[in-house]
Amino acid sequence: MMGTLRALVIGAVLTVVTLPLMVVQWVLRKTGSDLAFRLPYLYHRGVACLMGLKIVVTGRPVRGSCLMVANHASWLDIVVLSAVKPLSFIAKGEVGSWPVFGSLARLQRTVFIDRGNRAATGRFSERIRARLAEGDTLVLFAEGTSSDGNRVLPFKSALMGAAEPRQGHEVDDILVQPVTIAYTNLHGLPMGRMRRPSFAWYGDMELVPHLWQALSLGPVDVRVVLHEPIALDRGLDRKALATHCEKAVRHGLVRALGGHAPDDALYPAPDANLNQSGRQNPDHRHMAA
Amino acid sequence: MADGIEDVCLKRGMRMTGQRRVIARVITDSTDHPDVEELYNRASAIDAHISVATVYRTVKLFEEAGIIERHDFGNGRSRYEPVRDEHHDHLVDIKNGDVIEFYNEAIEKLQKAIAHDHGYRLVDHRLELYGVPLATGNNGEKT
Repeated sequence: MMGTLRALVIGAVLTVVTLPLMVVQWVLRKTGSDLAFRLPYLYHRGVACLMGLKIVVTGRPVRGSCLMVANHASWLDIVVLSAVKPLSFIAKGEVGSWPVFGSLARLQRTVFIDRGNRAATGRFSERIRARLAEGDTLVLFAEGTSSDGNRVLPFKSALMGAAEPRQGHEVDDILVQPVTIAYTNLHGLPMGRMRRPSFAWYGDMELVPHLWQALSLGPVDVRVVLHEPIALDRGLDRKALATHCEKAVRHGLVRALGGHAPDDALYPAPDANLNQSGRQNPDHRHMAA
Repeated sequence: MADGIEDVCLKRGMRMTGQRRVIARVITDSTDHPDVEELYNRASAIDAHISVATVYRTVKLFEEAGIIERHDFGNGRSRYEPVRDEHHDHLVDIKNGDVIEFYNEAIEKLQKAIAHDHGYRLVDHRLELYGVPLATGNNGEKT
């Protein structure tokens, strides 16, 4: 009963607030105002507050542009990460066709991927690079799907083409920051592995009933762990990068869910010898001699 | 410091671009074990064209070359100092992140003795102490 009331109130406020703000954001986008970057951030902070999402951030966001590589358990991730700093998401193309959510995604300058063919993948990487060069922060959910929130699925390096040095180009100034999102507590108590899927949205779950259920449950604590970023570099290919990010995110999830001290969830920067496949930094040939 | 990072790099035949030179100088001049963000602040004050990514890449390059040393003092941010010949240990102020270098003959001897007692010859060690300042009237324990 209380749950239904809670969901009704939150749902009603969200609807009343969101629709006019969508118009405002649309106008801001059209006029090219800088506020178009801030508004989604402020909006999601408000939504988090309204829903009783308590977000605890460990680590520091990169100042300026970066590619955040995160795990993905729920549509709530959008609200949570958007409340950390102004940013946009990378999403599969079908999201753009969802009613309301598709429009919201476009208003927050989502980059849609068409995962059909190789040519499209190349164009997609170009778009990501261009957006990062403009100073945007983009979030890539590297599992390519969503999990039940208790685990991290293998990261897909194919999605990380933008984060790889290009042949015949200077190395792009791109920073990659692994990010762990962990839904830890419900009503202030550890929610445990069984409860977590109430917030995680995965498999064939229907969006609207899940939304309703999550709204009716009560205040949730979320941990966001911003691991140390690494810079794109020669010899660091996207596979090595994906592996590093996956390790970092998993390290963070295990510790955040396991109730370790906050700083324990942070994954240290990779060892200097992360560079893979025997390809050495050109500068090192001299030093080896 | 007599022999700056720049000189070491040149001796090793590393290509020194203008930006690397600036970053090398900033690290050489820093005594407070700065993290990348801080190095970026200092380097970009000298050359505004330096990007954060360049600082990350350059410190990694210097680290791989064994010119600077990376420390993880527990808050997930790597911090750097030039590699020096003389040994020292670190005391970290967990309130504000200050790092104090120290050398204590008794500890050095004790470490060798412990290794020896276990049948080993000590070849290396790393010692980090974490503390809060006494003067604040808070000894760091919950009351």
